[in-house]
Amino acid sequence: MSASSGLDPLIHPVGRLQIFAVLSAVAEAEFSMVRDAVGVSDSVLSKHVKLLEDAGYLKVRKASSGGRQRTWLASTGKGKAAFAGHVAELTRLAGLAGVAP
Amino acid sequence: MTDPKTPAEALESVRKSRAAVAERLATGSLSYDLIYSALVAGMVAGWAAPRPWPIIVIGACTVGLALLARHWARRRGLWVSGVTPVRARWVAIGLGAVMVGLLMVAVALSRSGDQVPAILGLAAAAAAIAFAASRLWLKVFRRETGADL
Repeated sequence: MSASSGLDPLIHPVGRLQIFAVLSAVAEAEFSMVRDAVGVSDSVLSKHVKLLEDAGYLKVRKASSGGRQRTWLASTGKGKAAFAGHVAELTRLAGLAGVAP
Repeated sequence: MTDPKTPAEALESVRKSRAAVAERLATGSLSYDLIYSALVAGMVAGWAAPRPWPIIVIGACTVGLALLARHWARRRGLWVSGVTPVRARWVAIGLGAVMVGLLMVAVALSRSGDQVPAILGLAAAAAAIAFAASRLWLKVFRRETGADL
């Protein structure tokens, strides 16, 4: 499947799509929770997060808890809109594929 | 992990990730619901006591709710404000409206004389409603995040 004009190339890779699937359902999610839900390593998730943060799609908050620092992720309005549009396009394409001969 | 080859596969990966969120929320939610209900009931029951105890109890219960939410978010690695999901937010808003109504009735009863049994009955009703609404919220949330795309 290639990214067409209706799909957002920034969140098209499955890892980033899954990150937004998690973040779209909650207000904030802890880094390790997202890592486990997506099934990637810390370094891979960090790369995705940096890219999405630079694009203004998500924001990162660091907070110390019980003597250690935790990183919390949240999608921005721009990220939510991009994800909603991307999922709508995927749904449309899946529907087209369903009726294709 | 490979990129999905079809839109259906991509949507399936979204569903799986959301299901992981829903499962994590469901774990241990019964103890949360019980403590949450008790704190909400406390806010109403506080009006059975003479002044200034109602304000002190409301303050303590509010702090308790904030601490409960913070503890829960840290343990689950998730923070879900009640109004984050579109449909589940109406459960949270409805519960808030009912609780404000019950609190107003409790305040009115406390001003009308010795109404301790009535206020405590109201508090019991608040606990039952808060517990049911909390369970309903999770059910709606899970349905919303798990199946609907």
